[in-house]
This record gives sequence, C-alpha cells and structure tokens, in this order.
Amino acid sequence: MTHRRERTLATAGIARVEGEGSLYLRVSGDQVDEVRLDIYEPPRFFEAFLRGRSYREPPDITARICGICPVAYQTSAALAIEAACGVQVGGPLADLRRLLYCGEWIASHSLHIYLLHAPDFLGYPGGIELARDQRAIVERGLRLRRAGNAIMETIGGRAIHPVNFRIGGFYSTPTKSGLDRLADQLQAALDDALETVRWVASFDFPDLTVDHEMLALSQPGSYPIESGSLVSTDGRAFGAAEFERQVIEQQVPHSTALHARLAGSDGTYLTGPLARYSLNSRWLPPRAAAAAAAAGLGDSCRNPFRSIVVRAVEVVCAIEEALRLIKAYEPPSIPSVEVVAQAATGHGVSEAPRGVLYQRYELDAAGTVVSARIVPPTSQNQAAIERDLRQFVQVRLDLTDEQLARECEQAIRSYDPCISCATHFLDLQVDRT
Amino acid sequence: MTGVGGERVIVIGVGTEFRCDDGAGPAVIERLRGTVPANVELLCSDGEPTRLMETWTDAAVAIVVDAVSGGDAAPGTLHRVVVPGHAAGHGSAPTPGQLAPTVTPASSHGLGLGAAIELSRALSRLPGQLILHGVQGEAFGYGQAFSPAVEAAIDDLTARVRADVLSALAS
Repeated sequence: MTHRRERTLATAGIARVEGEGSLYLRVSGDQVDEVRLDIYEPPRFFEAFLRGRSYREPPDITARICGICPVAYQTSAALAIEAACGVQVGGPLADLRRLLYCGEWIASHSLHIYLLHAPDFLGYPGGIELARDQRAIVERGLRLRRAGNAIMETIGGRAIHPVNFRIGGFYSTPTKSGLDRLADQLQAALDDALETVRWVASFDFPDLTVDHEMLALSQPGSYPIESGSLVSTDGRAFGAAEFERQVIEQQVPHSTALHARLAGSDGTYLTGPLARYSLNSRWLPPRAAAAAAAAGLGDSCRNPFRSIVVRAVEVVCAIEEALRLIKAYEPPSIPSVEVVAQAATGHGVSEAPRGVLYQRYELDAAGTVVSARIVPPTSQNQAAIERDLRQFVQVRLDLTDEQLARECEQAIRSYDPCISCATHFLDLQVDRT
Repeated sequence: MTGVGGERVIVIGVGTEFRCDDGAGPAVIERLRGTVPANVELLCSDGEPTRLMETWTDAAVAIVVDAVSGGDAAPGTLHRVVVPGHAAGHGSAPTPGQLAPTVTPASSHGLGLGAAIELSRALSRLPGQLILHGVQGEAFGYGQAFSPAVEAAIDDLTARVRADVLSALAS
C-alpha cells in the first residue's frame, strides 16, 4: 500500500511567507528507509548581496537575515571583518557586545521555551492555548522576553535589527545610569528565570539519546557567547580561520541547503544548546550551575527533548552575566576603535542561540567585500536532525500518520531550527510500502 | 504618541524588505512618513507575535499592513479585516478562522500575525481596534523587487491605510 499524505500548515489569510519546510519519510514495511528534512534556505542571497558592499555594511545587512537572532549575525560579521583588518575589539566594548548578545539569548530562548516547546510537554496544541489556561506562567515568560529586549533596545538602539552596532564597536555607548536601570529589571528576571528552570525540569521527557559529535565555542573561564574558538566532544580544537577546513559542506539531492560534516569523519555533528552545555557546563556562572544541578542535568545532555532545560539554564546564565557586566561597566572613552580596511580575509564565529554561526569576508584594499560566506547553525544541524528523526520514527511506526506528524514536529521543535524567517511548517509526506 | 483623544494610534508594517512582496508592509510605512500627523506611530516589524503584542498593547487603534499569501485572490488584491479588539469586550466574535494559526509551528521563526492576535486575545492585550490591511502577493523569494501586481497596488494600499489613520484620529 502506498500511503501519501501532505499537510500544509499555513495560514490562508493575512500571512507571512509560507511553505518552505517539509519532511519526507519513506517506510518499507517496518523499516525507515529515508528521512529528508528540507527546512532551511541558507542565506545565499545575502552572500551575493554583500559582494561589492563596503566592509562597514555587513553588520547592518546580515542583521536582516533573522529577526530572532540579528545580534548573532552582526557579531560574527564584525568579528570576521575586524580580523581581516587586524583589529581585535577588547575591553569594555567587547563586554558591551557580550551584554547585547545576552539580551538576544534571553529573548530568543524565552520565546522558544514558553510559546513553542513547553506546550508540547503540557498537552497543549500551542502557546496560545497555554496562555488561555495558565496566564500567569506565560506572563512570566513574556517578562523574561521583555528583559532581553530591554537590553537590546538599550545597547542596540532597538530590539530587532539593532542599529547601534558597528565595525569596531558601537555608534554610541550607554551611560552608567542607563545600564543601572536595566539591572533592576534583570534582577527580577533572574527570579523568573530560576523559576523557569524548576518548571521545565518537572516535565516528562521522551527517551532519546543522540551520539553525534558536538561542536561549540569555548571561552575558557566563561560560558561561550559572543566569541571563542571551536572545540568538539571528540577532542577537536580549532580557530575560526580553520572552520572551512574542519567543516565540510556537501550538496545533497533533496535540498537547496548544504549538509555539513566534520572533516575526517563521516558522521554528523550537532551544534546548539546541547553542544554548548555539554562542552562548557563547567563554566556556567554560580546561579546557573546550581540551577542546572538541581534540574538534574549533569555535566552533559544528549537528549534533544531536554534542550528546554538547557535553554532555561542558559537564560539564567545570560541574566547573571548581564548583571555582572552591568555592575562592572564603566563607559569606554570612545564608542568604537578605528578599523582601517586592508586586502585580507577574516573569519568570525559566535554562539547564536541555535549554535555556532560562522562568517568569512574577503576584502580588497579599498574595503570592498569581494566574497562572503555565511554558515548558520541550522544548516550544520540539518543532517543530525535527519539522523535523529530516523531513530525517533523507527520506534514509532505503529502510529498513524497524523500522530507521527505531531510527534515529529515536537521532535523537530526541540532543535528550534531556523526555517528561514517567516516560514510556516510542516508539510509532511509519508510513503509506506 | 497619541491621537486627538490622547490615545495611541499606531501603524505597523509587517514583513521583510529582502523577500520581494513580503516587503509591502514596510514599504507602506515609508510612504506614510511625512503624510500623516507626527503623533501617529509608524513602525516596521518582523511579525514576531510577542513583539507585535507589546507594540499594540494599550493602543486605541492599531493598523497592521502585511503581505498576504495563500487563498484564491489574484495578486495585487487588497484586503481589509477589522478584528474586534478589547473595546468589543472579551468573548467577542472570534477572529476570522483564516487569521488564526492552526498549529504550533516547528520553530520560533514560524509564529506570525495570527498567533499575535490570538495570544493578545488570551492575555487581554488587544488594542481597542485592530485593522488589518493586506495585499495579495505572489513573489516571496529572496530579492528586493515587488511583483508587478504588488508594485501597482502599493499606492492604493497606502491611500487606504492613510484613510483609516485619519479616520482613527478624527473619532
């Protein structure tokens, strides 16, 4: 019997761009033959769009790739261009970038935890139904998100596509009193964040253990956010400049996206909260570390469903870090350091909420972008998600297609893939023979 | 910023300028600048629901302009839907079904305007009146050019939105 079913879960009225995500399963008897996930359009348009632009423009342009994580795109772009120009932004300007990035983590993770992921564990179709039934809980998540947005508005000028970020630093830096005002809001948010960890830790998690090599940044002494070098659970260690030699991207027939694997390995790998936590849990600040321990996370976490707990711990981490940075803040003497263009290539990596985000820029002597490369976390994770789904589906073949679609959606939500902003998910096709 | 009665009037253009027709909302906002009273808030948004909700909470009138995909209407067709806001009281008529999300998307990138409306309704955060203006799009790939149908409709869409703004200020 060939059984084909397609679901188009798009809004038909006033809607955003639709229909760019699909999952295809081919099942023969009791064996899953193929899992194909087509969820991501890599920002090739932006790579082409950046060519011929001034080296000062990529932070503003790449911020437009994603409304959820613009700071990640801005930061990796700036790091790459500054590296090409032989400049390393340090001291209070680097601290401000970390603080800005903390805001993005708080806002992004809170949205995912409360409106996307938690409803799956509580038996709600979605965050709206959760809000109707448990308003106080959702209001807590929205307070957290507001705290993250407040950081981005104070330092970045606005929460989406921050405008105050530039090569070399910022256009203007906040006053001490301006940041102190944020501290009160963040102190209250810390309580909300700790309560969030306790809340999500109480959920029942499906069994799933993934054995991928994990890749994340490392900033010895602190939890990696805005910069660092790369490390993996199999002992790899390399800098941003080595990224394209270590991460091999290859075409696959079913997708416009490139699939990634690590050099010298035929296996997939995973980046994102699970990898970040498993490689860096010892560097969590005290409150986050205690919350993780109380939640039973251990030193590492390989169950994608428990990523909601890791995200909640990372929200605590980001708030603690933000409070520390605000307390230590002294306005820098200049808002940015001079960055003089030179003919060179630079590489930059940072930890977007969804994982390692790499960019490379080749500049000519006049500072014109000759070529650009952007490798976001979702395209790196795509092969790993497919492999995990195969394992996940194999033991659920007795489900109806409808049940299977729902459970696959929940599994995919665990990774919070970037599905090219403003797309709707999920078209599912199952062929059973 | 407030209208005549001291109440906020806000226009929000939803979309991204790098996805062809999806940039219609922000384009209307740019065309409105300087042509409506300065006390009218003009904003662009990526449509993320919690931010939309925070933006229109406490507004007397919120007007949202977005591109439309799906359905049977011809490209360039203009839509106008009035969503009963908090002024209509809780338990008011439901949002037209086509505006509500049918499922939870698989990613936080997939939440949209329908989710913003329903979340606001659940949390009593709808504006006094919410007016949705849409233009039926056909090109949503990467790029900055509108399809000919949307290009031809933008000025008319802008005029309709401006008329609603002026009406809101006069009421």
